[in-house]
Amino acid sequence: MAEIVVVGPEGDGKGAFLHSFCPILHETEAGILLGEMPINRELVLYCYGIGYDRSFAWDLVGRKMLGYLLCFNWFDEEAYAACREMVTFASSSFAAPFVIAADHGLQPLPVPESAVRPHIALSSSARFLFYQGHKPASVRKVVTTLLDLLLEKL
Amino acid sequence: MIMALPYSTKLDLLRALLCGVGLQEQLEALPPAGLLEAHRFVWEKTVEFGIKMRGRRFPQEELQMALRARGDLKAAKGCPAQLRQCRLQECAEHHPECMREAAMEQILAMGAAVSEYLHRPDAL
Repeated sequence: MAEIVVVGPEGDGKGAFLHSFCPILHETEAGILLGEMPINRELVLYCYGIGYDRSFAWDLVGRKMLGYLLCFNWFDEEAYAACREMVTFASSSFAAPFVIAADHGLQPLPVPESAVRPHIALSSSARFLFYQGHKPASVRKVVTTLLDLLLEKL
Repeated sequence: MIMALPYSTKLDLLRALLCGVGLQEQLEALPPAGLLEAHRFVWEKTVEFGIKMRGRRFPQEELQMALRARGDLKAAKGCPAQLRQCRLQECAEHHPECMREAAMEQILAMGAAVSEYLHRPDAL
């Protein structure tokens, strides 16, 4: 069993995000989304989908998670501020690699694609990239960016 | 004087570079050591965007020389450490105000260069 955490805005967006790469999706009574991505008979990748809050059991999951994704709407200042706060909290609490993903939705990329593809490195353990939350292939690129980062750290 | 730049600050700087606004406000909030790290981070991103957008036409040496010239001009106008060349690292401790001015000027110049690479990708 391996775990990653997906932090994103409240609402339906996280369900769609997780469903883009997890064929099985549950929701706990506490409102936490749990996606399952079976890799093989012995290995399942569990993906927790949570909001921008610290009430999640970070103390239990944080230390054993493989990595985490922090998502926000590029054009939403409040979402940016909330995501930024989670970046501060998570990066100072855990050493796991992470990816910050900015959703530009239906709007064009704010800068030329070639400038920001495939991603922008913030350090050897952190990446930034743009994506489109309504496109499963784009969401999967966010996830594979984290998986690539994990492989690079091996 | 070394200070690891928090990821939230890196994110703010990156966002300001990509949006083309707000860089100065981010820099003003940083202590001298943070400003030095911000200078390093923004330089790395400037080179990254320059290479991605201009490829072989990216004038890295020219940009470096232009930044150095800015510092040297500032030093010639009245360096409190009486140096002929502006050295940000050396002055962070003893002349933090002068270092702040010089570092901010250079970072804003890099920000302007990034803006040009991103928004006028074909310009020479």
